[in-house]
Amino acid sequence: MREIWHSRTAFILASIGSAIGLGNIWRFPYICYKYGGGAFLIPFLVALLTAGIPLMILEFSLGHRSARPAPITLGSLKKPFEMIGWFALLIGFGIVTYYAVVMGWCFNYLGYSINLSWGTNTQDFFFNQFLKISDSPLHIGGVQWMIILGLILTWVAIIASIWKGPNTVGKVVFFTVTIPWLLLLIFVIRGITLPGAVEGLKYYLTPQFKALFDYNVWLAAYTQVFFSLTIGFGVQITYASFLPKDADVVNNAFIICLADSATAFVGGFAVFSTLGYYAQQTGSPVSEVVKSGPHLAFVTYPTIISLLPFGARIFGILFFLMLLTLGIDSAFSLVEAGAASIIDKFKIKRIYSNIGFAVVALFIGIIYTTGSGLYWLDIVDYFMNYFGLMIVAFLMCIAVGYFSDYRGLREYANSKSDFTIGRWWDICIRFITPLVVGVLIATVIIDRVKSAYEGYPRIAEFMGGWLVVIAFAIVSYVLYRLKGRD
Amino acid sequence: MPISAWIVLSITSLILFGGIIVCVIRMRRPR
Repeated sequence: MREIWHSRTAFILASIGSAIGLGNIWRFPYICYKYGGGAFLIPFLVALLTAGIPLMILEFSLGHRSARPAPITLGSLKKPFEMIGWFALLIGFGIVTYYAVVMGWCFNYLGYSINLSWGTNTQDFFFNQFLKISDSPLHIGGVQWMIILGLILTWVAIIASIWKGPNTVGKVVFFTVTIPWLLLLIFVIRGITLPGAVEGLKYYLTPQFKALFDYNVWLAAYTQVFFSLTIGFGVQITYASFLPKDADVVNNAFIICLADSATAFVGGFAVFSTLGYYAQQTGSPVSEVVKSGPHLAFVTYPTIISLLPFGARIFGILFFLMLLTLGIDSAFSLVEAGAASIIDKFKIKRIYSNIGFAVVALFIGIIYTTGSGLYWLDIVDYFMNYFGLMIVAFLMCIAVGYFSDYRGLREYANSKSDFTIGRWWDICIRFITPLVVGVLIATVIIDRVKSAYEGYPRIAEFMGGWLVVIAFAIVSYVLYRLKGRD
Repeated sequence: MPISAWIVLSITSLILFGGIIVCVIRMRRPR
Protein backbone atom coordinates (compact mmCIF):
# COMPACT_ATOMS: atom_id res chain seq x y z
CA MET A 1 0.00 0.00 0.00
CA ARG A 2 1.28 3.47 -0.94
CA GLU A 3 2.16 5.92 1.84
CA ILE A 4 -0.03 9.02 2.39
CA TRP A 5 0.30 12.20 4.46
CA HIS A 6 -1.14 11.68 7.91
CA SER A 7 -2.77 15.15 7.94
CA ARG A 8 -3.48 18.15 5.73
CA THR A 9 -1.15 20.25 7.86
CA ALA A 10 1.68 17.78 7.25
CA PHE A 11 1.25 18.12 3.48
CA ILE A 12 1.00 21.91 3.56
CA LEU A 13 4.08 22.22 5.78
CA ALA A 14 6.06 19.74 3.66
CA SER A 15 5.23 21.64 0.53
CA ILE A 16 5.95 25.01 2.14
CA GLY A 17 9.21 23.60 3.49
CA SER A 18 10.16 22.48 0.00
CA ALA A 19 9.37 25.91 -1.44
CA ILE A 20 11.02 27.99 1.28
CA GLY A 21 14.78 27.74 1.08
CA LEU A 22 17.94 29.78 1.27
CA GLY A 23 16.76 31.84 -1.71
CA ASN A 24 13.97 33.40 0.38
CA ILE A 25 16.65 35.05 2.50
CA TRP A 26 19.61 35.56 0.20
CA ARG A 27 17.94 36.07 -3.18
CA PHE A 28 14.47 37.63 -2.96
CA PRO A 29 15.40 40.72 -0.88
CA TYR A 30 18.37 41.47 -3.13
CA ILE A 31 16.34 41.02 -6.34
CA CYS A 32 13.63 43.25 -4.90
CA TYR A 33 16.18 45.97 -4.09
CA LYS A 34 17.92 45.61 -7.47
CA TYR A 35 14.79 45.73 -9.60
CA GLY A 36 12.92 48.76 -8.36
CA GLY A 37 12.60 48.32 -4.57
CA GLY A 38 8.96 48.22 -3.51
CA ALA A 39 7.85 48.64 -7.13
CA PHE A 40 9.24 45.14 -7.83
CA LEU A 41 6.48 43.72 -5.65
CA ILE A 42 3.93 44.60 -8.35
CA PRO A 43 5.46 42.38 -11.10
CA PHE A 44 6.28 39.80 -8.42
CA LEU A 45 2.64 39.50 -7.31
CA VAL A 46 1.49 39.47 -10.94
CA ALA A 47 3.99 36.67 -11.68
CA LEU A 48 2.80 34.80 -8.61
CA LEU A 49 -0.83 34.96 -9.74
CA THR A 50 -0.24 34.26 -13.44
CA ALA A 51 2.55 31.67 -13.26
CA GLY A 52 3.45 30.56 -9.74
CA ILE A 53 0.01 29.64 -8.41
CA PRO A 54 -1.27 28.21 -11.75
CA LEU A 55 1.80 25.97 -12.07
CA MET A 56 1.47 24.86 -8.46
CA ILE A 57 -2.19 23.96 -9.10
CA LEU A 58 -1.11 22.13 -12.25
CA GLU A 59 1.50 20.05 -10.40
CA PHE A 60 -0.81 19.32 -7.47
CA SER A 61 -3.70 18.31 -9.77
CA LEU A 62 -1.52 15.99 -11.84
CA GLY A 63 0.04 14.33 -8.79
CA HIS A 64 -3.23 14.05 -6.90
CA ARG A 65 -5.12 12.56 -9.86
CA SER A 66 -2.54 9.92 -10.75
CA ALA A 67 -1.21 9.20 -7.23
CA ARG A 68 2.14 8.40 -8.83
CA PRO A 69 5.46 10.32 -8.88
CA ALA A 70 6.31 12.92 -11.53
CA PRO A 71 7.67 10.78 -14.42
CA ILE A 72 4.84 8.25 -14.27
CA THR A 73 2.27 11.02 -13.84
CA LEU A 74 3.49 12.92 -16.89
CA GLY A 75 3.83 9.63 -18.81
CA SER A 76 0.16 8.98 -18.12
CA LEU A 77 -0.71 12.04 -20.25
CA LYS A 78 1.35 10.74 -23.18
CA LYS A 79 4.03 8.11 -22.78
CA PRO A 80 7.01 10.19 -24.04
CA PHE A 81 6.17 12.93 -21.51
CA GLU A 82 7.66 10.59 -18.92
CA MET A 83 11.01 11.98 -20.08
CA ILE A 84 10.00 15.47 -18.88
CA GLY A 85 9.42 14.01 -15.43
CA TRP A 86 12.81 12.27 -15.31
CA PHE A 87 14.52 15.39 -16.63
CA ALA A 88 12.84 17.48 -13.90
CA LEU A 89 14.03 15.07 -11.23
CA LEU A 90 17.56 15.04 -12.63
CA ILE A 91 17.64 18.84 -12.52
CA GLY A 92 16.61 18.55 -8.86
CA PHE A 93 19.34 15.95 -8.37
CA GLY A 94 21.90 18.30 -9.94
CA ILE A 95 20.81 21.05 -7.57
CA VAL A 96 20.84 18.95 -4.42
CA THR A 97 24.46 17.86 -5.07
CA TYR A 98 25.64 21.43 -4.44
CA TYR A 99 22.80 22.57 -2.18
CA ALA A 100 23.99 19.93 0.30
CA VAL A 101 27.50 21.41 0.12
CA VAL A 102 26.15 24.87 0.98
CA MET A 103 24.40 23.28 3.94
CA GLY A 104 27.74 21.67 4.80
CA TRP A 105 29.21 25.20 4.92
CA CYS A 106 26.35 26.14 7.29
CA PHE A 107 27.25 23.23 9.61
CA ASN A 108 30.84 24.50 9.70
CA TYR A 109 29.77 28.09 10.30
CA LEU A 110 27.44 26.93 13.06
CA GLY A 111 30.58 25.66 14.80
CA TYR A 112 32.55 28.83 13.96
CA SER A 113 29.78 30.95 15.53
CA ILE A 114 30.66 29.65 18.99
CA ASN A 115 33.98 31.54 18.92
CA LEU A 116 33.20 33.94 16.05
CA SER A 117 36.16 32.25 14.35
CA TRP A 118 35.76 34.29 11.18
CA GLY A 119 37.50 37.22 12.91
CA THR A 120 37.40 40.71 11.47
CA ASN A 121 38.26 39.94 7.83
CA THR A 122 35.30 37.69 7.02
CA GLN A 123 35.92 37.85 3.29
CA ASP A 124 39.45 36.51 3.61
CA PHE A 125 38.24 33.90 6.10
CA PHE A 126 35.48 32.58 3.82
CA PHE A 127 37.28 32.60 0.50
CA ASN A 128 40.91 31.97 1.43
CA GLN A 129 40.88 30.11 4.74
CA PHE A 130 37.60 28.19 4.62
CA LEU A 131 37.11 27.48 0.88
CA LYS A 132 40.80 27.88 -0.05
CA ILE A 133 39.48 29.14 -3.34
CA SER A 134 41.63 28.66 -6.44
CA ASP A 135 42.05 31.29 -9.16
CA SER A 136 40.03 29.48 -11.83
CA PRO A 137 37.50 26.64 -12.19
CA LEU A 138 40.15 24.77 -14.14
CA HIS A 139 42.54 24.79 -11.16
CA ILE A 140 40.74 22.25 -9.04
CA GLY A 141 42.80 22.48 -5.82
CA GLY A 142 42.53 20.07 -2.91
CA VAL A 143 39.34 19.06 -1.14
CA GLN A 144 38.48 20.71 2.16
CA TRP A 145 37.91 17.94 4.68
CA MET A 146 35.84 20.05 7.06
CA ILE A 147 33.44 20.83 4.20
CA ILE A 148 33.26 17.13 3.36
CA LEU A 149 32.44 16.45 7.01
CA GLY A 150 29.66 19.05 6.82
CA LEU A 151 28.48 17.46 3.57
CA ILE A 152 28.30 14.01 5.19
CA LEU A 153 26.35 15.45 8.14
CA THR A 154 23.93 17.07 5.69
CA TRP A 155 23.32 13.81 3.83
CA VAL A 156 22.78 11.93 7.09
CA ALA A 157 20.18 14.57 8.03
CA ILE A 158 18.52 14.36 4.60
CA ILE A 159 18.29 10.56 4.59
CA ALA A 160 17.03 10.48 8.18
CA SER A 161 14.32 13.01 7.23
CA ILE A 162 12.94 10.90 4.38
CA TRP A 163 13.66 7.49 5.93
CA LYS A 164 10.06 6.29 5.71
CA GLY A 165 8.84 8.71 3.05
CA PRO A 166 5.86 10.93 3.88
CA ASN A 167 5.53 9.34 7.32
CA THR A 168 8.89 10.71 8.42
CA VAL A 169 8.76 13.88 6.30
CA GLY A 170 5.35 14.77 7.79
CA LYS A 171 6.87 14.76 11.28
CA VAL A 172 10.19 16.44 10.44
CA VAL A 173 8.57 19.42 8.68
CA PHE A 174 6.74 20.43 11.84
CA PHE A 175 10.19 21.47 13.10
CA THR A 176 11.99 22.42 9.89
CA VAL A 177 9.27 24.88 8.86
CA THR A 178 8.27 26.38 12.20
CA ILE A 179 11.81 26.78 13.60
CA PRO A 180 13.09 28.97 10.72
CA TRP A 181 9.90 31.05 10.86
CA LEU A 182 10.49 31.64 14.56
CA LEU A 183 14.16 32.42 14.00
CA LEU A 184 13.32 34.73 11.12
CA LEU A 185 10.95 36.61 13.40
CA ILE A 186 13.74 36.94 15.98
CA PHE A 187 16.07 38.33 13.29
CA VAL A 188 13.43 40.79 12.07
CA ILE A 189 12.89 42.08 15.61
CA ARG A 190 16.65 42.24 16.25
CA GLY A 191 17.21 43.90 12.88
CA ILE A 192 14.58 46.62 13.07
CA THR A 193 15.64 47.59 16.59
CA LEU A 194 19.23 48.26 15.46
CA PRO A 195 20.36 51.82 14.69
CA GLY A 196 20.35 52.51 10.94
CA ALA A 197 17.71 49.84 10.25
CA VAL A 198 15.27 52.31 8.71
CA GLU A 199 17.89 53.44 6.19
CA GLY A 200 18.29 49.83 5.05
CA LEU A 201 14.53 49.29 4.82
CA LYS A 202 14.24 52.43 2.69
CA TYR A 203 16.43 50.74 0.08
CA TYR A 204 14.31 47.60 0.26
CA LEU A 205 10.87 49.16 0.08
CA THR A 206 10.98 52.60 -1.53
CA PRO A 207 9.36 52.05 -4.94
CA GLN A 208 11.13 53.17 -8.11
CA PHE A 209 8.08 53.07 -10.37
CA LYS A 210 10.02 53.71 -13.57
CA ALA A 211 11.43 50.17 -13.17
CA LEU A 212 7.99 48.86 -14.15
CA PHE A 213 8.65 49.97 -17.73
CA ASP A 214 11.78 47.81 -17.95
CA TYR A 215 10.92 44.32 -19.25
CA ASN A 216 13.98 42.90 -17.44
CA VAL A 217 12.24 43.68 -14.16
CA TRP A 218 9.23 41.62 -15.24
CA LEU A 219 11.45 38.75 -16.36
CA ALA A 220 13.28 38.91 -13.03
CA ALA A 221 9.93 38.72 -11.21
CA TYR A 222 8.84 35.60 -13.12
CA THR A 223 12.28 34.03 -12.64
CA GLN A 224 12.12 34.69 -8.90
CA VAL A 225 8.68 33.06 -8.68
CA PHE A 226 9.87 29.96 -10.54
CA PHE A 227 13.00 29.61 -8.39
CA SER A 228 11.21 30.23 -5.15
CA LEU A 229 8.31 27.79 -5.32
CA THR A 230 10.21 24.57 -6.16
CA ILE A 231 8.03 24.07 -9.23
CA GLY A 232 9.48 22.31 -12.25
CA PHE A 233 11.40 19.72 -10.23
CA GLY A 234 8.61 17.16 -9.94
CA VAL A 235 8.63 17.66 -6.17
CA GLN A 236 5.14 19.12 -5.88
CA ILE A 237 3.71 16.43 -8.20
CA THR A 238 5.27 13.75 -6.02
CA TYR A 239 4.19 15.36 -2.74
CA ALA A 240 0.61 15.73 -4.04
CA SER A 241 0.64 12.08 -5.11
CA PHE A 242 0.82 11.15 -1.42
CA LEU A 243 -2.47 12.98 -0.72
CA PRO A 244 -5.57 10.95 0.03
CA LYS A 245 -8.30 11.03 -2.63
CA ASP A 246 -10.57 13.43 -0.73
CA ALA A 247 -7.80 16.01 -0.22
CA ASP A 248 -7.87 19.63 -1.42
CA VAL A 249 -5.84 20.91 -4.38
CA VAL A 250 -6.54 24.57 -5.18
CA ASN A 251 -6.70 26.05 -1.69
CA ASN A 252 -3.53 24.22 -0.66
CA ALA A 253 -1.72 25.65 -3.70
CA PHE A 254 -2.79 29.19 -2.77
CA ILE A 255 -1.76 28.78 0.89
CA ILE A 256 1.66 27.36 -0.02
CA CYS A 257 2.48 29.99 -2.65
CA LEU A 258 1.35 32.86 -0.44
CA ALA A 259 3.23 31.50 2.59
CA ASP A 260 6.42 31.13 0.56
CA SER A 261 6.15 34.68 -0.77
CA ALA A 262 5.28 36.08 2.65
CA THR A 263 8.38 34.41 4.10
CA ALA A 264 10.57 35.96 1.40
CA PHE A 265 8.96 39.37 1.96
CA VAL A 266 9.55 39.16 5.72
CA GLY A 267 13.07 37.84 5.07
CA GLY A 268 13.80 41.15 3.37
CA PHE A 269 13.17 42.97 6.66
CA ALA A 270 15.72 40.78 8.47
CA VAL A 271 18.28 41.30 5.71
CA PHE A 272 17.86 45.00 4.94
CA SER A 273 17.45 46.19 8.51
CA THR A 274 20.78 44.58 9.44
CA LEU A 275 22.38 45.89 6.24
CA GLY A 276 21.24 49.37 7.30
CA TYR A 277 22.96 48.84 10.66
CA TYR A 278 26.11 47.56 8.92
CA ALA A 279 26.15 50.58 6.59
CA GLN A 280 25.83 52.93 9.55
CA GLN A 281 28.59 51.18 11.51
CA THR A 282 31.00 51.29 8.56
CA GLY A 283 29.97 54.74 7.34
CA SER A 284 29.11 53.42 3.87
CA PRO A 285 25.89 53.86 1.89
CA VAL A 286 23.58 50.81 1.99
CA SER A 287 24.01 50.36 -1.77
CA GLU A 288 27.70 49.56 -1.19
CA VAL A 289 27.11 46.83 1.39
CA VAL A 290 24.22 45.03 -0.32
CA LYS A 291 25.12 41.51 -1.40
CA SER A 292 23.22 38.36 -2.28
CA GLY A 293 23.87 34.62 -2.26
CA PRO A 294 26.74 33.01 -0.36
CA HIS A 295 28.51 36.38 0.01
CA LEU A 296 25.58 37.72 2.02
CA ALA A 297 25.33 34.63 4.24
CA PHE A 298 29.00 33.83 4.78
CA VAL A 299 30.76 37.18 4.52
CA THR A 300 28.39 40.10 5.13
CA TYR A 301 26.22 38.49 7.81
CA PRO A 302 29.13 37.16 9.92
CA THR A 303 30.60 40.69 9.83
CA ILE A 304 27.30 42.14 11.02
CA ILE A 305 26.99 39.45 13.72
CA SER A 306 30.44 40.37 15.03
CA LEU A 307 29.40 44.04 15.12
CA LEU A 308 26.25 43.40 17.18
CA PRO A 309 26.25 45.24 20.51
CA PHE A 310 25.44 42.07 22.49
CA GLY A 311 24.76 38.34 22.01
CA ALA A 312 26.90 38.02 18.87
CA ARG A 313 27.63 34.34 19.45
CA ILE A 314 23.99 33.48 20.11
CA PHE A 315 22.84 35.35 17.00
CA GLY A 316 25.57 33.64 14.98
CA ILE A 317 24.38 30.22 16.08
CA LEU A 318 20.73 31.14 15.48
CA PHE A 319 21.48 32.55 12.02
CA PHE A 320 23.21 29.42 10.73
CA LEU A 321 20.63 27.23 12.45
CA MET A 322 18.01 29.21 10.53
CA LEU A 323 19.82 28.62 7.22
CA LEU A 324 20.16 24.90 7.97
CA THR A 325 16.50 24.44 8.84
CA LEU A 326 15.47 26.59 5.87
CA GLY A 327 17.54 24.48 3.49
CA ILE A 328 17.08 20.96 4.79
CA ASP A 329 13.43 20.55 3.77
CA SER A 330 14.10 21.90 0.26
CA ALA A 331 17.00 19.46 -0.06
CA PHE A 332 15.14 16.40 1.15
CA SER A 333 12.09 17.20 -0.98
CA LEU A 334 14.30 16.99 -4.09
CA VAL A 335 15.71 13.66 -2.88
CA GLU A 336 12.29 12.29 -1.91
CA ALA A 337 10.87 13.14 -5.35
CA GLY A 338 13.72 11.25 -7.03
CA ALA A 339 13.70 8.32 -4.63
CA ALA A 340 9.89 7.92 -4.81
CA SER A 341 10.06 7.82 -8.62
CA ILE A 342 12.76 5.14 -8.65
CA ILE A 343 10.86 3.11 -6.04
CA ASP A 344 7.65 3.44 -8.06
CA LYS A 345 9.06 2.49 -11.45
CA PHE A 346 11.73 -0.04 -10.58
CA LYS A 347 10.23 -1.39 -7.35
CA ILE A 348 13.48 -0.93 -5.46
CA LYS A 349 13.27 -0.97 -1.66
CA ARG A 350 13.18 2.54 -0.17
CA ILE A 351 16.30 1.96 1.92
CA TYR A 352 18.39 1.09 -1.16
CA SER A 353 16.91 3.93 -3.20
CA ASN A 354 17.57 6.52 -0.46
CA ILE A 355 21.09 5.39 0.35
CA GLY A 356 22.04 4.90 -3.31
CA PHE A 357 20.81 8.42 -4.11
CA ALA A 358 22.72 9.91 -1.16
CA VAL A 359 25.99 8.13 -1.92
CA VAL A 360 26.00 9.13 -5.62
CA ALA A 361 25.04 12.74 -4.81
CA LEU A 362 27.63 12.92 -2.02
CA PHE A 363 30.43 11.75 -4.31
CA ILE A 364 29.44 14.21 -7.02
CA GLY A 365 29.27 16.90 -4.34
CA ILE A 366 32.97 16.42 -3.54
CA ILE A 367 33.84 18.56 -6.59
CA TYR A 368 32.21 21.52 -4.79
CA THR A 369 34.41 20.98 -1.73
CA THR A 370 37.58 21.66 -3.72
CA GLY A 371 39.33 24.98 -4.20
CA SER A 372 37.43 25.51 -7.45
CA GLY A 373 34.15 24.31 -5.93
CA LEU A 374 32.54 27.74 -5.68
CA TYR A 375 33.10 28.39 -9.40
CA TRP A 376 31.56 25.05 -10.37
CA LEU A 377 28.70 25.61 -7.98
CA ASP A 378 28.03 28.97 -9.60
CA ILE A 379 28.08 27.56 -13.14
CA VAL A 380 25.97 24.48 -12.40
CA ASP A 381 23.49 26.54 -10.34
CA TYR A 382 23.01 28.98 -13.21
CA PHE A 383 22.38 26.27 -15.80
CA MET A 384 20.16 24.12 -13.57
CA ASN A 385 17.91 27.04 -12.68
CA TYR A 386 17.97 29.37 -15.67
CA PHE A 387 17.98 26.60 -18.22
CA GLY A 388 16.93 23.21 -16.80
CA LEU A 389 14.08 24.42 -14.62
CA MET A 390 12.79 26.75 -17.31
CA ILE A 391 12.77 23.99 -19.93
CA VAL A 392 10.77 21.74 -17.60
CA ALA A 393 8.26 24.50 -16.79
CA PHE A 394 7.87 25.26 -20.49
CA LEU A 395 7.46 21.62 -21.55
CA MET A 396 5.05 20.90 -18.71
CA CYS A 397 2.79 23.79 -19.76
CA ILE A 398 2.90 22.68 -23.41
CA ALA A 399 2.27 19.03 -22.47
CA VAL A 400 -0.76 19.89 -20.35
CA GLY A 401 -2.03 22.91 -22.27
CA TYR A 402 -1.79 21.50 -25.80
CA PHE A 403 -1.44 17.71 -25.64
CA SER A 404 -3.85 16.72 -22.90
CA ASP A 405 -7.27 17.54 -21.56
CA TYR A 406 -6.42 20.71 -19.63
CA ARG A 407 -10.09 21.53 -19.06
CA GLY A 408 -10.57 18.07 -17.57
CA LEU A 409 -7.61 18.67 -15.26
CA ARG A 410 -9.09 21.99 -14.12
CA GLU A 411 -12.46 20.36 -13.52
CA TYR A 412 -10.72 17.62 -11.56
CA ALA A 413 -8.93 20.22 -9.40
CA ASN A 414 -12.22 22.06 -8.83
CA SER A 415 -14.03 18.86 -7.86
CA LYS A 416 -11.44 18.31 -5.15
CA SER A 417 -11.09 21.80 -3.75
CA ASP A 418 -12.43 24.13 -1.08
CA PHE A 419 -12.92 26.76 -3.82
CA THR A 420 -12.78 26.62 -7.58
CA ILE A 421 -10.69 28.18 -10.34
CA GLY A 422 -11.99 29.55 -13.62
CA ARG A 423 -10.74 29.87 -17.17
CA TRP A 424 -8.02 32.29 -16.11
CA TRP A 425 -6.05 29.18 -15.16
CA ASP A 426 -6.27 27.84 -18.74
CA ILE A 427 -4.99 31.18 -20.08
CA CYS A 428 -2.07 31.20 -17.63
CA ILE A 429 -1.05 27.61 -18.41
CA ARG A 430 -1.56 27.77 -22.18
CA PHE A 431 -0.37 31.28 -22.99
CA ILE A 432 1.14 33.46 -20.27
CA THR A 433 3.54 31.02 -18.58
CA PRO A 434 4.88 29.35 -21.78
CA LEU A 435 5.31 32.77 -23.38
CA VAL A 436 7.27 34.24 -20.47
CA VAL A 437 9.34 31.08 -19.96
CA GLY A 438 10.01 30.88 -23.70
CA VAL A 439 11.33 34.46 -23.66
CA LEU A 440 13.47 33.66 -20.61
CA ILE A 441 15.00 30.58 -22.27
CA ALA A 442 15.67 32.55 -25.47
CA THR A 443 17.31 35.34 -23.43
CA VAL A 444 19.57 32.85 -21.66
CA ILE A 445 20.63 31.20 -24.94
CA ILE A 446 21.35 34.57 -26.61
CA ASP A 447 23.33 35.76 -23.56
CA ARG A 448 25.41 32.59 -23.48
CA VAL A 449 26.11 32.65 -27.18
CA LYS A 450 27.33 36.24 -26.85
CA SER A 451 29.63 35.56 -23.90
CA ALA A 452 30.46 32.88 -21.34
CA TYR A 453 28.61 33.04 -18.05
CA GLU A 454 30.36 35.46 -15.66
CA GLY A 455 33.44 35.41 -17.90
CA TYR A 456 34.34 31.82 -16.98
CA PRO A 457 36.46 29.88 -19.51
CA ARG A 458 34.25 28.46 -22.26
CA ILE A 459 35.41 24.92 -21.48
CA ALA A 460 34.31 25.28 -17.83
CA GLU A 461 30.95 26.70 -18.93
CA PHE A 462 30.51 23.78 -21.31
CA MET A 463 31.42 21.11 -18.75
CA GLY A 464 29.46 22.56 -15.84
CA GLY A 465 26.53 23.78 -17.91
CA TRP A 466 25.71 22.50 -21.36
CA LEU A 467 27.27 19.07 -20.82
CA VAL A 468 25.30 18.51 -17.63
CA VAL A 469 22.03 19.54 -19.30
CA ILE A 470 22.74 17.28 -22.31
CA ALA A 471 23.76 14.37 -20.03
CA PHE A 472 20.55 14.78 -18.03
CA ALA A 473 18.51 14.75 -21.25
CA ILE A 474 20.18 11.48 -22.33
CA VAL A 475 19.74 9.88 -18.89
CA SER A 476 16.06 10.94 -18.95
CA TYR A 477 15.64 9.12 -22.24
CA VAL A 478 17.38 6.00 -20.87
CA LEU A 479 15.22 5.99 -17.71
CA TYR A 480 12.13 6.40 -19.88
CA ARG A 481 13.13 3.49 -22.13
CA LEU A 482 14.06 1.18 -19.26
CA LYS A 483 11.28 -1.22 -18.51
CA GLY A 484 9.79 -0.77 -15.06
CA ARG A 485 8.73 -3.62 -12.80
CA ASP A 486 5.06 -4.18 -12.09
CA MET B 1 10.70 55.88 5.33
CA PRO B 2 8.85 57.70 2.57
CA ILE B 3 5.07 57.37 2.42
CA SER B 4 5.31 55.36 -0.82
CA ALA B 5 7.35 52.69 1.01
CA TRP B 6 4.70 52.49 3.73
CA ILE B 7 1.97 52.09 1.09
CA VAL B 8 3.91 49.28 -0.61
CA LEU B 9 4.49 47.62 2.76
CA SER B 10 0.80 47.81 3.71
CA ILE B 11 -0.62 46.61 0.39
CA THR B 12 1.82 43.72 0.03
CA SER B 13 1.24 42.60 3.63
CA LEU B 14 -2.50 42.82 3.09
CA ILE B 15 -2.36 40.70 -0.08
CA LEU B 16 0.04 38.06 1.26
CA PHE B 17 -1.10 37.68 4.86
CA GLY B 18 -4.73 38.57 4.11
CA GLY B 19 -4.67 35.96 1.35
CA ILE B 20 -3.34 33.30 3.70
CA ILE B 21 -5.98 34.12 6.31
CA VAL B 22 -8.81 33.98 3.74
CA CYS B 23 -7.54 30.62 2.41
CA VAL B 24 -7.24 29.18 5.93
CA ILE B 25 -10.77 30.37 6.80
CA ARG B 26 -12.09 28.70 3.64
CA MET B 27 -10.52 25.34 4.49
CA ARG B 28 -13.33 22.80 4.43
CA ARG B 29 -11.67 19.48 3.84
CA PRO B 30 -9.99 17.73 6.77
CA ARG B 31 -7.36 16.16 4.49
